[in-house]
Amino acid sequence: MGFDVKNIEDKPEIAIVYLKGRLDVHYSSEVETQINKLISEGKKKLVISLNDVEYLSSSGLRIFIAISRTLKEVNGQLKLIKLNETARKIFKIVELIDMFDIYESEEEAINSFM
Amino acid sequence: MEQMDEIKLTSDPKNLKVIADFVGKILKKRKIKSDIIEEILLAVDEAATNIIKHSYQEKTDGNIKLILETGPDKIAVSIFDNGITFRPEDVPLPVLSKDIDNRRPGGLGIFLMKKFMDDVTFYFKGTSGRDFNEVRMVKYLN
Repeated sequence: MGFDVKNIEDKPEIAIVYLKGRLDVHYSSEVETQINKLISEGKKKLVISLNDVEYLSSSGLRIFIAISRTLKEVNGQLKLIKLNETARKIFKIVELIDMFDIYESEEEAINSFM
Repeated sequence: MEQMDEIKLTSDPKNLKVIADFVGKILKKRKIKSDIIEEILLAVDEAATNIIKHSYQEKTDGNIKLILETGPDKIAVSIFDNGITFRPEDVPLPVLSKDIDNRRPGGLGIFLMKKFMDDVTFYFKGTSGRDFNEVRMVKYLN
């Protein structure tokens, strides 16, 4: 599973995470660990791109729920961007599509942070 | 004409990709529509994940066998394990209407299996002379 992070120079609390590959049970826990590390380093405003996530399982959904809760506890926020058709379908089926802030672009997501 | 393909692997989570590649390749060869393949792969992954997590308690040396049956009217996937019997009725289905803070974490896997497949049946080790647990999932074509 690919995991790349981009920081924003004048906004140290923001990080954009690019996930790539299969978000199944094998990779989900690794991803969660790495994201929790970012949060502990002070990145409280996270944008996660699902553009290159070729497969999303219930394990993947669970980590987004867990990350959302963790960020709330530290007054942080989570934005998801670029859900592909498969990811969008799964989010809709489990009725999570309206429970996350989902955007098409990094810019929209970053501008939406309060 | 029905065709059967079989694969045996261990309960190492890395094998989830092996399972997906195996099932996906065969279904593509049999010219199944891509959206149907996608749904079957999702259900198969959820079923295999439950076996890894619950039946084998995340041990990586458990035995898993998958049989894929492809016919003109249906696709059936049976997955066998001889780990701890995992009873789906012991897992409450998720209450989807609850907000994120109040969602129970479990039950999504079985929920998705039942959403993507037309029939999902569990058979338990020790019943009717069975040595293995089996989950059989069927998707009807047409």
